[in-house]
Parts: sequence; C-alpha cells; structure tokens
Amino acid sequence: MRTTALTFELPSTLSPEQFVSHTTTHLNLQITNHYAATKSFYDSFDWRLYHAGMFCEFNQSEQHAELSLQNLAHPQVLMSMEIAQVPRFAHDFTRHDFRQQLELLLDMRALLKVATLDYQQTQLNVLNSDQKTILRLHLDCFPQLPARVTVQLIKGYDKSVLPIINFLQDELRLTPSTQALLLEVLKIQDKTAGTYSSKLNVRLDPDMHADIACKYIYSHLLNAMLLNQQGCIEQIDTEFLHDFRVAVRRTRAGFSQIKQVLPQNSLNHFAEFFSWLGQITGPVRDIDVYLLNFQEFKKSLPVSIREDINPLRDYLYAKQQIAYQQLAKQLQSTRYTKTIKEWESFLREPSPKKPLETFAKLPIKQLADQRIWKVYKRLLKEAQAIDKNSSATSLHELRKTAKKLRYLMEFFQQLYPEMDIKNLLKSLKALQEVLGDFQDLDVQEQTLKQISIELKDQGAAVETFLAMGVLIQVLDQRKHKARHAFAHSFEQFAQPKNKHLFKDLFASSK
Amino acid sequence: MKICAIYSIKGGVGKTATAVNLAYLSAKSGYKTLLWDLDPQGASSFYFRIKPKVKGGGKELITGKRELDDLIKGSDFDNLDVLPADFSFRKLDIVLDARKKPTQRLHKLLEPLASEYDIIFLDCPPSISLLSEAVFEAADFLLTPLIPTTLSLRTLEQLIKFLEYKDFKKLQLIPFFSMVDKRKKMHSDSLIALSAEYPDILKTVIPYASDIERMGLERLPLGAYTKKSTSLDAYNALWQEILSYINTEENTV
Repeated sequence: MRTTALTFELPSTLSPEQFVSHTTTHLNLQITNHYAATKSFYDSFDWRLYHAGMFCEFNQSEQHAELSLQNLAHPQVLMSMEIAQVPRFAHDFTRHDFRQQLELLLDMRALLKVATLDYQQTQLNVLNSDQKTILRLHLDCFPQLPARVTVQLIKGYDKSVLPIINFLQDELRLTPSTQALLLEVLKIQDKTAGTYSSKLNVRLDPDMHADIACKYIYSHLLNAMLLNQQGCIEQIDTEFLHDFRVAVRRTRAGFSQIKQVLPQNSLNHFAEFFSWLGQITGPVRDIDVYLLNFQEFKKSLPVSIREDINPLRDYLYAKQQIAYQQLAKQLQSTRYTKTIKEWESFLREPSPKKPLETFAKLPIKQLADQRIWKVYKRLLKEAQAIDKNSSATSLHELRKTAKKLRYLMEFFQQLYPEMDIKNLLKSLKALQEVLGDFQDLDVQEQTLKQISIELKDQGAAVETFLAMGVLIQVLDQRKHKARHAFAHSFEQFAQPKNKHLFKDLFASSK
Repeated sequence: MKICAIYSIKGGVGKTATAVNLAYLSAKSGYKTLLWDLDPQGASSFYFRIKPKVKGGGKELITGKRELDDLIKGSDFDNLDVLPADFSFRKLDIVLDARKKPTQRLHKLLEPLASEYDIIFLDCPPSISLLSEAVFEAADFLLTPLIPTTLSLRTLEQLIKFLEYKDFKKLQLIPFFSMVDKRKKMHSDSLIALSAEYPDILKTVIPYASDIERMGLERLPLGAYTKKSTSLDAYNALWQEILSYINTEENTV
C-alpha cells in the first residue's frame, strides 16, 4: 500500500541522467518506466481542497493514469488510484475512500482543472536480495522547474530507508522540497490559489462618500456575476448559479435599501434588468435545490417505497437540462450582454462632484449605521407581531426583511469591529435559517403538488404518486417543526446582549 | 472491512494461487487489501517475495504482544499489503488453545485493522482445527476451492456439516471449482454432477494451467506477468463473482 512519500529537489549541478547513473551504481535498482506524462491539478472553483490544505494531482501518460489526493503543506500522498479520467463530482468516484473524503471536502462542487504541466517521469525500484521492491524513487523532470525525486516508502521496510535518504542528501546533495508542486506550478503560470470566495468582503473607508462606496460594492457584486456566468452557461455545477443569484439578489437589495445615493433614473433601468435576472434564474435554482436534496428526501421515506420516487428524480433531471439550456441562451442574449456592459460602464463612470441625490456625499459609515439600524428595528417589529396564528405570508415577509438586513450588514462589515459584526451575523443567520427552512419547505410542498400534475400527464406509475404523497407529508411535518422553532430562534436573536450590540454599533448616527 | 478466508480441509486444491490472485485483483480494483499468510509453508509470502518471518513468531502475535500492524509488509503493488507467514504458525493451535475464548482470538486481532483495510484475505493451512474455527468466527466469506473429484465432494459435505453444527452466525460459504482439467472425463462429469447438486457453487471455473504454475517461478501474481490468458480471465471472473457477494447491500465494504 502506498504510504508516506518524501520529495527532494535535484541541485542545479546534478542532471537527471547523472542522478540515474549515480543511483544505479550505488543501489540495486530496477528502472521500471520512463515516459512522457502530464500532471493536471484539480480543485473546485472556490478552492475547497486548497483551503483544506490539499489538492488533487492527475498524472497521465500513454501507459498509466493515476489520480492522487495530496497534502499541500508538506508533500505527501494521502491516497491514490489508477483511473482513466477524473470524475467531475465526488459522488462519481467508484473508490469509496476517495468518494468519502472528497464528498466531505467538495460537497456538490465539481472538480476542475486549475493547472497543467508536462514532464518526464522515470520510476526506479530499489530491490533487496529477493528482488523485492523495498523503496520506490520517482524522478520527475519539468521544463521550468528543478527535477524532483519522490521517495515512496514501502510499509515494513523502514530500515532500508535511512541509508538511502542519507545517500540522496549527503552524496548527491538533494534537498527536501518545501513547497507542494502545485504552488510552484501556479507561480510560474502567474496564477494564484484560493482567490475566489463567494463571501462578500469589501474594504471600505468610513469617510468614503456613499456614492463611491456603493459603486465599489456593486462592482464587487458584478465581478462575482462575471466570474460565475460561464459556469452557469456550461452547467458545471449548481454553485455557479447559486453564487450568481446571490450577487444578483445582493445588488437588488442594495437598490431597494440604499436610495438617494446613485442617480435614480439610471438605477430604475438596471433594477428592471436585475429583476429579470432574478426571474430567469429562480426556477432553475429551485430544481437544483430539489435535486441536491433528493437523496435526503429519499432517505426520509420508508424503505419499501424509496425506489418508487425515482421517476420524480428522472423528471427533475430532464427539467433541469431544459431549464439550463434556456438559461444559457438568456445569459448569452443581447439583452444580457448589452446591459451588463452598460452596468459595468455606469459603475466605472466617475461620480459627479455635485450630485442631486441627497445622500451621495454622506460618509458611508453614517449611511450604513442609519440603514442597518432602521432595517433592524423593522425586523424586530415584524418578528414581535408574529404569533402562532400568523400566516405563512407574514413569515415570508419577515424572511425578506432578515435577508435585507443581512445583506446590508455584509456590505458594510468592514466598517465595524470584526468580532462584533461576525457574532451578530451569526445570530441573524441562525434566525434566517429557521425562516428559510419554513419558506423553502412550503415552496417545495407546493411545487411537488404542481409536479404531480405534470407527472400525471406523462402517465407516471401510481407507486410514484404514493411516494410523492408521503414526501409531501414529510415536508409538511418538517415545515411545522420549523414554524415551532421560530419563537426560540427569534428569542435567541433578540436576546439583550445582541440588542445592546446592535444599538452600540449602529444607533450612533440616528 | 470484509474478511475472506480461502480455506479447504484438503491440501493442493489451489488455495494459495487463489488467495494471491484475488488479493492482487482486489488491490487493483482499488480496495485497500491485506493478505494474511496463515500457512506455515509460507507460499503466499514467497509469491510476493516477502520473507516468511514474523518477529516474535506466532505466539507473540496471537497473544497480542506485538501489534499486527507492525508486522505487515507492503507488497510491490499499490493497495496491497501482506502479513507474512512464519514457520512457528505450525503451532498456532497450541497457542490458541492456551487462550481464553480461542476461537474469537483472530477476530479480535483483526478488528483494529478495519480502518486501514477494505478487504482481508486469509490464506489458511489445510486442516480442520482450532485455528480453522477461529478463522470461521472471524471471516465473512469462506471461499472453498473444489477439485471436481469424489474426494472433494466428501470434504465439502464434511465442511457443510461442521459449519451447520457450529452455527457460525455471519459466515457465508462460497465454494468454487479449482484446478479443473477438462480433458479429464472425471473432472467434466464431476463438474456437472456437483453443480447440479450444489447450485451455490460459483459459475467461474479455475483451470489447471501451466501459466498458474509459473507463479512459483515468477514469484508474482498471475496478472503481474500475464496480460491476457484464459487463467487470468478465470480469476478476473471469479473476483467479479465474489465482489458481487461482497457488494450486496448488507455486505458493502
């Protein structure tokens, strides 16, 4: 079994040919392979492996193709497998150790190629007197980087390692590699790891004029849309659309919550465009959410009827394909490309020195305080009015208000002490989750009813409708649970500690 | 983790060739695999070029004085490790007999390896003894090679009776034909008769073939020196059949 591997770099004074020649003279070696190969490095679009201190390396040659999961901090192969091509999703892996590990790290995100490098590999086996391999040396030669030797230890033959390592270091002057190859490759290819994050973190100066600050925030959001739009068009994974939609929603929240800062007539034009983006992406996202939750939904059914629900999944897959095709067309339409460019130009235009809008030149911190405080008060008022007889609509309205507050706090989080704003956001997020669960379950229940009509027209089996009926019941039970959880979660949010903190942070400019 | 014991009361039925080739194919399929050579003859260890020597011998191993993991050796193949044999294994029965609950000892020793291995193959010595009972307690599957002869039928019947009598809860008996020489009329006739009588015998038939015998010369599993042969196809088919047992919902690795 592949165990720990140590990696060394060849000094500039030692060519790969000299390395082979020296080692062959000193050790009982068998050169098993020498071939041209390509290394491709994989991670998710948002660098989930990198953030977890790992990366995937796919080595491919005519003879061999192997994928490995490696440690980033100190070069070490954590697991490896022979595989013809890299699966797109963790759940596509047939090897369960890979599947298990990658599902934990990647969740629903696709594995994407982040860099490639051509190289020459020579594999040398160090043998004992029984001609048994007791150690492997992999010599990799790269065009722009020093050659590397990876020493692959074989379990139970540890005693033989030290003299060989000593020989490599003392006699041949090899030095241990300190950096994972991926980082070296990214460096020579002018790329940076970990650059994308779906989290909004805009650096603002408290005294910055509101119009400039707003354009700055909108530019960040536009950038997020542009980074994700191609992934939506190519339907790489569901999170491209998720992040695209979040950027759209945040922009729309900005339009509705921060008024009298940017010219209203321009904003009206763009508001219509962003509202259209919300409409065209909504139904696709709803299907994505259904499919992402499908396994969990299925597990909530009694074992005897679990498989009966599969036609619903097939129907949703088919719907998802059509929906993405339509979305791709719209994201490549003249309306989209033209308006996005207009929005980009608008954000780049310098702000007028004497604007007509009342708050355009207000320091952004003052405006942020006012807006957050006002929406927070509204949230408290709406939440306090909710009792056990309140309708789903009033909870939905409260959810919208909570979302607006969250977006405002996220826009301006850099203006406040980090831990304070983080704690408040955490508390708000917990409340939002309960409200979100209630609303999502309500919509899912309604949608299932609608889909059952569509499936009926397609002549689906009675068993499928029965299973869907049970699922609706399960969703309904969960919805009631979420409804009951509201009171407690609001109590947590509105606890005196949070109230004081909200007041301290935001009420000063009132 | 699933444990597959390759076992027969009779010797010379192709146990070691089966254990070595199945372990190799299991590792090649990506399962983290361990082969434990329990036979003091050490043939499995020999095929993998590993010295049949265990520090402290069978006694220290069975009594738990040495961690099993410390005695394991990496093979020349990815995902495949070997716990080599030791000549002292000939006395394992005596060592086991001196322990409390001797038949549960092997199971206890193997338990900590669950996080490291998906499949463990036990290459068992031919006999029916205390060690065999400990194997039956520990294993999930008992892969039994049968040469299609009258004597094999007799040993299979003996084994079935013994397993029924002892009632090993999780053990599943999987017999299959091995070292079959279809040129021999007795083999062909017995193959038909036994298959009719015991429908649970696997469909795959491992032939008696010179390329399997060559394993001793090459000191490698068949697939490591032959890219295409009827024997290799047979072992591949056998592995797939066994895998279908392992991967049933309640058995999944």
